Amino acid sequence: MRTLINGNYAVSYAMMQINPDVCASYPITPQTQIIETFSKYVSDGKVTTENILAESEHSAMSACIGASAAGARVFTATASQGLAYMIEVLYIAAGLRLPMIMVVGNRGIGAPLLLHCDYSDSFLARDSGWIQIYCKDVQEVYDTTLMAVKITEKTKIPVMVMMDGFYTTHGEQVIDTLTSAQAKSFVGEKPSWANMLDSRITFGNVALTDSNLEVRERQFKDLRESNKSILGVQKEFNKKFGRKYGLYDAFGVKDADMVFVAMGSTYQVIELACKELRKKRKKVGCLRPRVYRPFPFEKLGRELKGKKIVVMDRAISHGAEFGPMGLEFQNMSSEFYNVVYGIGGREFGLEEARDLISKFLTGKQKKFQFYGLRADLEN
Amino acid sequence: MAKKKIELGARIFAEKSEEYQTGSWRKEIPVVKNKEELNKYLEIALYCPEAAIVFVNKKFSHIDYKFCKGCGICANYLKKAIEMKRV
Amino acid sequence: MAGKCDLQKIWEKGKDCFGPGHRTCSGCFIPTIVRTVLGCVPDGYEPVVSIATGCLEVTSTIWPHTSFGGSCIHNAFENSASTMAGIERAYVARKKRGEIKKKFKFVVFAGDGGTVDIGLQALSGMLERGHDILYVLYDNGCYSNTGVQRSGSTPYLANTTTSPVGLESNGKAQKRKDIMSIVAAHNIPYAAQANPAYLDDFIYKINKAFSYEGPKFLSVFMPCNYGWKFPQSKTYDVAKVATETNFWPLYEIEGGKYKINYKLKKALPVEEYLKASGGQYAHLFKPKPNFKPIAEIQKEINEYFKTLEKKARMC
Repeated sequence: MRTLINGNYAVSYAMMQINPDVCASYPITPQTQIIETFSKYVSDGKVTTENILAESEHSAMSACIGASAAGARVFTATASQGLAYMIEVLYIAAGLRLPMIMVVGNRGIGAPLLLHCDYSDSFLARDSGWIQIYCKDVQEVYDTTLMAVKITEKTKIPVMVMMDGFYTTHGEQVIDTLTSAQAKSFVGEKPSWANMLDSRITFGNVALTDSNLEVRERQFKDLRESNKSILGVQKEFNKKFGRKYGLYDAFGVKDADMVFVAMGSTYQVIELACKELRKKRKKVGCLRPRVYRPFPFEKLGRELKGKKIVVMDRAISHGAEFGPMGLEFQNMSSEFYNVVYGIGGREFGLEEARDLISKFLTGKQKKFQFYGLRADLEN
Repeated sequence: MAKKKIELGARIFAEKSEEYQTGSWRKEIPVVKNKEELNKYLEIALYCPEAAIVFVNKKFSHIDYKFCKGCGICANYLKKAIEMKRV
Repeated sequence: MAGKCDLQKIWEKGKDCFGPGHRTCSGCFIPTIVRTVLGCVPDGYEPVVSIATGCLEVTSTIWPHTSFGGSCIHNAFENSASTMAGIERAYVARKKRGEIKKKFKFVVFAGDGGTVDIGLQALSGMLERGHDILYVLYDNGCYSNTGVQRSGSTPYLANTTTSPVGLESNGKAQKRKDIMSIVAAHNIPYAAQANPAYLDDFIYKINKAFSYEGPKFLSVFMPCNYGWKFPQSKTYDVAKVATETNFWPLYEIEGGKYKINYKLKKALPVEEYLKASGGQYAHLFKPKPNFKPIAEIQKEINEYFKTLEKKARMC
């Protein structure tokens, strides 16, 4: 059904359609609308979900762990400071191999306090062991939220679904939603997994020097191989509903001389700018990493080999040579550039995309730069 | 070579838990002197941290020396019935 | 003397729920507390346990051994209450959908560190939301597991590794946090202070707690022979004298009404407890100019008990 909806409402709607067992959440800008609308569904009896309104994000994620360990289908949402607060428990959720999904409305972490989009929050959890998928628009968020439930229950790895704070969380777009019957049937009956109510299990025990390495190795291996399951679920989604998703998106990369790598909603303007330049026969391409963890380094390496790549980072890794994405892409090509942009929600629209690409097409650029700094501020 | 299974996240199923014997911790060992006296004080079974003082049908049966750490709480509680002897 | 309750049954069920093989210090009463609570889980119910990082957790669940016969989860230090909140709601959700036929009792075990300090937020949230959970605090007045550091529940002037007695200090300078008052402020159906040395009273309180729906709280005295430095066989004696001196009064708060369970005609002087509880108070017995700690502590104990009596009279 064609619907005008923003990212937050789309997530909440998707969850309403599949009626999970438990939701444990805490409000934080820009995800508050998710839990507000979901709470309204609960109040109106549209779902039978047990809604835990936790007293902090740390407790919200802890309750998610408890719920999943008790065999319940559970979801939550957070951003920014909240994600940073629950980081300890994110590691625990991944280490315990519990299925759950979390939607993140990307918002930078302070100080100084900020409300708008950058990826410093979800990048903080890169090493935690969660599957991370970045979405570029509301349609993708809606679809990925449903797919994430299936992925997490298949792989027993928790899944984080990212959307840009304000751009996608609050920006309304026309999307195609499934019927509740379709959504429920796609996500399927909850499979049974080892849980505390059906079996007698000790979770979260100590694993000392004699066993910790093996547990971690298995976790690492399973996360790396989870892209097979991710592709499988996405293939099934495409077959049923005609929308195709991969581990990344690419436009004009095959014969491109220069490829711009950008994630999230920024990709939309980069792709538009590249399409314009293609019409003028400029050999530019663009690539959007979608599944960021597990990082599809083999496939990306093959795509980008021999090309000049400009990696656009919406986050900073203070003290490192490049931005966080830059560090992961730097060896994929001999000619590599890194641009940090859009920090704290600094506008990066079509004008900026055209400007940046033309700068790279026409002149020699520094290997690493901040784009979009204000000329009128004395820093 | 027989391999030991380690579950996801090192979780432990209760029925697959491996026994860990703590009897080797002892420096002193409790010895029952007066079984009739001991029978009157079933709560001593709860006071033993290792549940090593075994009562069956409300009567003292035996001390499980596999786990007894020799703490002496039992002998201190019921000096008439149990005595600690050096190992 | 054996009490009115079926101790055999409690011991057997307790042993099934929490068996031997844990690495608690020799002479530790934590297993006694855990076994007694789980042993009192009513017939037809299975216990599901959440434990905070601390003495209990690191000694009883080390791969490949678990002392817990039922399901048990350890999440992190501060979130044993919120983890259990998730489990409890999951149970309600799954039961609604017809997935679960069994009945459970949800019990949290945490030390004073994981309750009064770092765990206070999660506990408060859980109590406020009204989950059907029994929260058992085993209070040994310090972070015993990591080496006897001071906590918010460490009593005044106790010697701990982070509030050590020294040339400029006489131990912990602050008074103990009154966790029972904090819990009482959440308007829960039942809270009680108990002592394993008073087994009948303890079991009565556990049974009462299990009979209520909603959040329940038990604050249980836990003498730590390693942390407080007293002989390992004396754990029972130290626990007994704590209540005989009114250092650890036994009372309940049922629906907001206070009731003192154990009233002594004449309590022993607190000096008896301070002497018996070992090295942590040894410095109080060394004469020092302008330092009259025992009288000060006695005054405080008397005042606290008077406040309890006043609260009990008002009900």
